[in-house]
Amino acid sequence: MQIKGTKSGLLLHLYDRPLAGAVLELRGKLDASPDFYRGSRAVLMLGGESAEAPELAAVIATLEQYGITADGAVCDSDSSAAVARSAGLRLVAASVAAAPRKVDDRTTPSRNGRARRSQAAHDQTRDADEPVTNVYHKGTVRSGQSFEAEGNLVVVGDVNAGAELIAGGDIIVWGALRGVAHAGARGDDAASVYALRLEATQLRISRCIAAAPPADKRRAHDLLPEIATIRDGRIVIVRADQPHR
Amino acid sequence: MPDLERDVQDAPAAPAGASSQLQLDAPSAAPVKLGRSIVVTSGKGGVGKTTTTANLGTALADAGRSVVVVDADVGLRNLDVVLGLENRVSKHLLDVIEEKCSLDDALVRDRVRRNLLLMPAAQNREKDDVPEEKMALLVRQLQERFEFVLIDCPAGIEQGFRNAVVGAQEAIVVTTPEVSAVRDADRVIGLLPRNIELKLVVNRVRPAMVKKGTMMSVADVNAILRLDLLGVVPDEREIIIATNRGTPVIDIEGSETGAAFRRIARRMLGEDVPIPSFEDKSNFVTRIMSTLGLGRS
Amino acid sequence: MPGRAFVITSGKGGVGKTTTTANVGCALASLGKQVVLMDADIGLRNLDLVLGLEKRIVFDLVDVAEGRCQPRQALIRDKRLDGLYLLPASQTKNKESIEEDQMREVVRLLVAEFDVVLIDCPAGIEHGFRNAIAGADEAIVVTTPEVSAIRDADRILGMLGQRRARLIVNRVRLEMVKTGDMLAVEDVAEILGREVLGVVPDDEEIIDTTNRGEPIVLDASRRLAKTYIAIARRLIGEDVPLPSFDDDGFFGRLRRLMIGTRSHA
Repeated sequence: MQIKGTKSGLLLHLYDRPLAGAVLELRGKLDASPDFYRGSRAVLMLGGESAEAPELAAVIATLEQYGITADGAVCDSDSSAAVARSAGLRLVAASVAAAPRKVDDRTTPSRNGRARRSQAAHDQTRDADEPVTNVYHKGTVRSGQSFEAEGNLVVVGDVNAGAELIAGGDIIVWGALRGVAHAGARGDDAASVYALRLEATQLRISRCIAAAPPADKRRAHDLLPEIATIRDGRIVIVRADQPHR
Repeated sequence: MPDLERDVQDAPAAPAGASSQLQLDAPSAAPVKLGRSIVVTSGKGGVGKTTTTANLGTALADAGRSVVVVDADVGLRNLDVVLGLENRVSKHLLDVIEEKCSLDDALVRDRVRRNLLLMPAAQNREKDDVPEEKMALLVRQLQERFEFVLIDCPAGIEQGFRNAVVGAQEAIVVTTPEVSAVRDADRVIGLLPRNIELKLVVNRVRPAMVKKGTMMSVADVNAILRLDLLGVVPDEREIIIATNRGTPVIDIEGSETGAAFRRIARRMLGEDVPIPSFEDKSNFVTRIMSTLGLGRS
Repeated sequence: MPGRAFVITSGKGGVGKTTTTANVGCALASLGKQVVLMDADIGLRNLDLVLGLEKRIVFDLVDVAEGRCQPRQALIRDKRLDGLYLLPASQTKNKESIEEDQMREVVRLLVAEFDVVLIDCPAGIEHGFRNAIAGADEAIVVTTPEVSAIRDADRILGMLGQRRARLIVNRVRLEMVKTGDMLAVEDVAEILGREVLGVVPDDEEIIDTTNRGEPIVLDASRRLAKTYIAIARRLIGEDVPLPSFDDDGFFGRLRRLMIGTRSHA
């Protein structure tokens, strides 16, 4: 069993069955420094085989004892998903659980705590003493380039396929968005992606992920500015001139 | 306070990062007038970098300029073969950098054009052997002697690529109208230093396929790459024959490909040569198909 | 019994490694094998494009190597064929992001679960190439009947060590061979001194299929589909004769080259 830290919290790889052994192992690992992860969120990677509900509940309870809140699960099958849901875990896509995959923030658990409070409240206001940087870029973002912003990210130019944008807040592309954009990367479900031409390969908002639809038959001049947001737990795209809240 | 006025003209697609004028002189503060150093790159292999370097070098030489073409592909050299000079290669770039011989010892003169020379790559060493600063210095030395230094870049974005780019002040990005090639070209553009002037050459265009909708058009390509277009080169069987024989395709009578390279060279020299839209060459394609009994089966 | 890992390499770029990897992979899956296609071209990934799977990429090879995910999470299952999976490369990283022992380890994990692993090698002979061959037991060297490609293939053969290496001669234009403007397959095989696994004729239809992300093998009616199926069958050990291009002498010589190869170090 592995515990990995990401910018969004902890990832627990729980592939071995039965899960009973996992609890012991978990304790062993966490006892090494019991307060290290206090205040963190955790996503459980459950794989395909379904865990027993009581076992899963035991894992969640154990984590609680160390101040870790399990609030998501990555499941490769419907049966494991059903068990996870009944245990009160939200289903997340694998990538979203681990994104942004850049900095391992295990060394700053207290910041996780602050972030968790503001997310639990589901409000947009940030703590007054935590300034977030917005990023503004002018020019084409090329394949293989990656831009990140703690806050909002604005690109005046195209974002080509193979490029990646990651923001804690909103993403705005004044051009064609053809690459991958991840808004609300720290768990802000209210984040949105705006683009003059929304032709992204893949969109991610908070913990939701959606792939581009099959080749769009719309001609270039029919494409209007669009906004992607989360509605009813999934990403939807609306035309910019239509109500989207 | 003035009213806001709306300008209803169509705004031209502004290529990011590239200027619209091709400078005739390389920017230089040195007392010696330096030649132009241009790297021919692509990211994707096999799109025609070496063929482009060889043919443009030859065309510029025919226009009376002194040209050196540099094979920066250490370990997998091919520029010598394309020029038909492989039997004349003895010393190479690495020997010069390591001061085992002089510049003149390594340079190979073209058999036909006296003002076209080749700086060959080493075949038996690997790209990690060449330190970037030394490569830059070598290119600078060549710029002091030649009006044009064309650097044939290897495929990829590893050390070989970095070495080829380090001395260049301009870049010609070569792509074919295929999704993978355009993607790789885009990647490379993102890795080129911001102060390098970029131009685009779209190679291996098959007008019949573009017409049918089974190939990207040049406009499709440049909607993504957004560079100044230097030229469009059509695809032809003549290219393969020429390459195998070590003759530049510009020397093949009646070759559209050769003509396209000549036009590109003229543009590089500052001439305003319009880019023609190619006529349908479907006869050629269907001829091949029927000979082989190919086509949809 | 663990599967076999093949690296698809060439030296020269643009001769058809990625297209070959995709189509041979699809062909193997259609023959009932469990196949993983692995893109080792970090930073210049194309296998996902050719397979039409780009939009489903979540994790990639570098994530697996660095332990951010399990290999199975990075694998993208191709919905069109049973048993075909893609392990994509990263686009935002470069080839220095992974080391040879990490590659070996990833391949080791994959061959434990799959019948065949095909590793799509980047062009060149640099770090990326060394990474790609690190985990492979055998090599498939793709070349075209052109001087530059053959030269580079020859160089590659010298860098493959003791691995078995077989050739795929791609983009053969029979009419040019007949007029003497192109080398014959037997000539290519003789120069490189290796067994020929397959001969793929030049066909402009392949360009459109790679652009659209629909490997030509998926359309069984196409001529090239049959070619790749034959290659796949030879790869798994079936005795499928190479196509005879109407000349018995040609076929005979090629056959002899296939069975009794001179082995080069």
